[in-house]
Amino acid sequence: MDPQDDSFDFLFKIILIGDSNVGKTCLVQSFKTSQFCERQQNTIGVDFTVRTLSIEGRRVKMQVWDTAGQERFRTITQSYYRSAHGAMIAYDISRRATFDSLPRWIHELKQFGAANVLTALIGNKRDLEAEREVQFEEACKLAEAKGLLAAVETSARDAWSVEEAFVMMARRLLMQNDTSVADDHTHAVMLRSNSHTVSLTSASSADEKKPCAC
Amino acid sequence: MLRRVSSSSSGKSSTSRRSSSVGFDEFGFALSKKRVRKLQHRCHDYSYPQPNPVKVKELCEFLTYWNGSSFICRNQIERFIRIGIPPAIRGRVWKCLLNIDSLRAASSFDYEACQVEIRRPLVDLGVSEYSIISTIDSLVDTENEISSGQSDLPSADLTLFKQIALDLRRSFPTHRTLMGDRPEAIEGQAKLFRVLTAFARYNPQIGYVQGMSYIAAVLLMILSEEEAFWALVALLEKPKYLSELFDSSMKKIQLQALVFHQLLKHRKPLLFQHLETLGVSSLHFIMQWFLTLFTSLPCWDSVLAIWDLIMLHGLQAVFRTGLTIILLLESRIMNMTEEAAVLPVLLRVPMDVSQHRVLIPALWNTDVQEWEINCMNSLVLEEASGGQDEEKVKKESAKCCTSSLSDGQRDVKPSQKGAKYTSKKEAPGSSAKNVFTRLLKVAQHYILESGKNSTAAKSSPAKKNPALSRLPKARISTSFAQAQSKKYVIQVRTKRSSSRRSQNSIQSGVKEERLPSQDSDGGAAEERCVKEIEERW
Repeated sequence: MDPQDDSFDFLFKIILIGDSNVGKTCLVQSFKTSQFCERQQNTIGVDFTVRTLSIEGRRVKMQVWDTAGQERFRTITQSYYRSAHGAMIAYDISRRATFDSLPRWIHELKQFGAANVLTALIGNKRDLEAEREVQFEEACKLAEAKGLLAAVETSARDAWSVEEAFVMMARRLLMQNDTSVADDHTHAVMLRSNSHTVSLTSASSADEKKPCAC
Repeated sequence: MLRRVSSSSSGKSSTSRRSSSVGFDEFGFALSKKRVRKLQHRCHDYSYPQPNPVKVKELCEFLTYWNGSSFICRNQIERFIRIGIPPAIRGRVWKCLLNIDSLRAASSFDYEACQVEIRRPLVDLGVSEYSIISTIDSLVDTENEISSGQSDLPSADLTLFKQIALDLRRSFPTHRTLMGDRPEAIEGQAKLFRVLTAFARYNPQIGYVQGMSYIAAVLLMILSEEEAFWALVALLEKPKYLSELFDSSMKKIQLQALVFHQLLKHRKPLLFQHLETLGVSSLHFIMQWFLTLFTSLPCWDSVLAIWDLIMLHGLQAVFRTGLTIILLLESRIMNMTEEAAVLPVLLRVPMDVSQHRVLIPALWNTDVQEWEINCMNSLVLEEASGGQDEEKVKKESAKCCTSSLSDGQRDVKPSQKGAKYTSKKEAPGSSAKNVFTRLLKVAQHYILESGKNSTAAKSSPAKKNPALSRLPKARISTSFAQAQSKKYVIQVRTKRSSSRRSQNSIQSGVKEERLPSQDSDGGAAEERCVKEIEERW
């Protein structure tokens, strides 16, 4: 059961941050097991999950550091930022406050993370459409304004776009480290949320920012 | 030892008529479908020993004469804990061990009055503790009202209530008292909310920290609401238990992780080295283990047995449990080649290791003394304070590591010789008297050894004696002076004194002049040592 299959071509560390109860642990679990656990315990400190993806014949090991959302743990979780290659900042689309704290998370990441840490915004609980308080465009705008990789909406409950979000991270990190991997544009445009298409990057330009094609 | 097989609790099911489809095991955990069982990481096959009716009666009688400050009482209760506390009496035992009644009597804090105070502004906002989860969103809306002065709920309180409310269903989400929105669970969540908010009022400097909800929830499973509150106060405020662990700086938990790191380094140098090589940080798993007191273990009978011991011995038992777990996983970890393989087994301790019949006997056979923790503690503080000293400490530690390599499996083996020193075979090294005897033996051993060189010491009888061999190692590692019995006197002294930081001054102070005579005259030194220790205690 434990990932003793230590053969891999690339190893990426992803830090998963965001306010309390936005579904960080469920996201990781969905990524790891494709299952949703209705009754999830809150995370104390930092949890850890690993899954190896196969991308264009390369074995990419994704180590996900799932952090506690409470402010009090910030000093400790911050020490995990430095070694992260990628960061996913999660918020809950049905709770405005969790979106409003994104700039604080981004700032913190800039402060404690590596300079080139690849960052994506993850709007979770998309299944709660009826209770939506944050429009996807807002997330796109924020991602663009802050120069982040992408904004994605997911539903850990329905395993919707979760895998894709992680694969997108893996792919992007792979591109940075291995030039022979092409930016799979078709994949990128498949990341749809709420009928909006997120284009990760314009195929030709090296521009990191993704326009939000609405 | 009788092995139990879980069954849905038939006796209590009448109270939960509406949960038609959900069954619960004897400790109240939902019997989940196979598909999600692995996700929930919970075992329902319990292996704790069936309580012996005679012993149960004895224990009940004993509790009526309980005196928390009596050594004899504490000795006696340890015997009972070792046999196994029957679930039905656990509440009484915990109340005794935590001295809840006297704590409540001595405090001017009024739990009921505090509840009234907390409830008032919530009621004004149309929120009750019974609907806190569903009304959390309206609480968010009221934030604006609060800032515009329309409510008398301070916004700090609102943040606090929100965080607590978020965690109510996320602490043991499959336990009958907290699961979903059954009437029993609504009541359970409300109780948990009240206890946690009351604690935050009682100690506003700590407030609420994630992890606490697990501790409070366990207490609520065993004790009445107000008792659970005072038990939480005892656990989170008494230095013997978890005081400062939840402080806003979170410094203490980081310190404890370093202390555990040192403990492991001295007890299991190879394992320690392996973890170092793989880059596994002890803070990572210590945080979860210590802040939730091992409630993440999948086997609940084990968790409760661990808690019994923690109630008796405090933080020391927390270290002891941590060490036991990691030792049980040692062979597995040694075969792992990356951090990514190690962390999952430490964060989600496998069922086979967590089972009562495996973990609890191993726990009793793994000895960690309070002074040992103190010793590691000062070592960590020493390392943190001085760069120059650090080199010295490292050298000493390295010496220690090599010297303990030969000891193999000693930690999990019962202390054979230890039993000789005490009449109570069940609890080697745990009674105060026993500690003295050991200290003296060690002192004697070292005095005898002082003339010989270090290689001779390695092949000394200490090697065969787990209880003895451990003590000198810890001592060597601390880079204290090479004095012999003096060390232990100092340790005992510091244990009694409230400030560990004053250790250096004690060390270099009063006791120094006695050293030469001790070195030259072993017998006299031992006598003095006895006297000294007896005086101190």
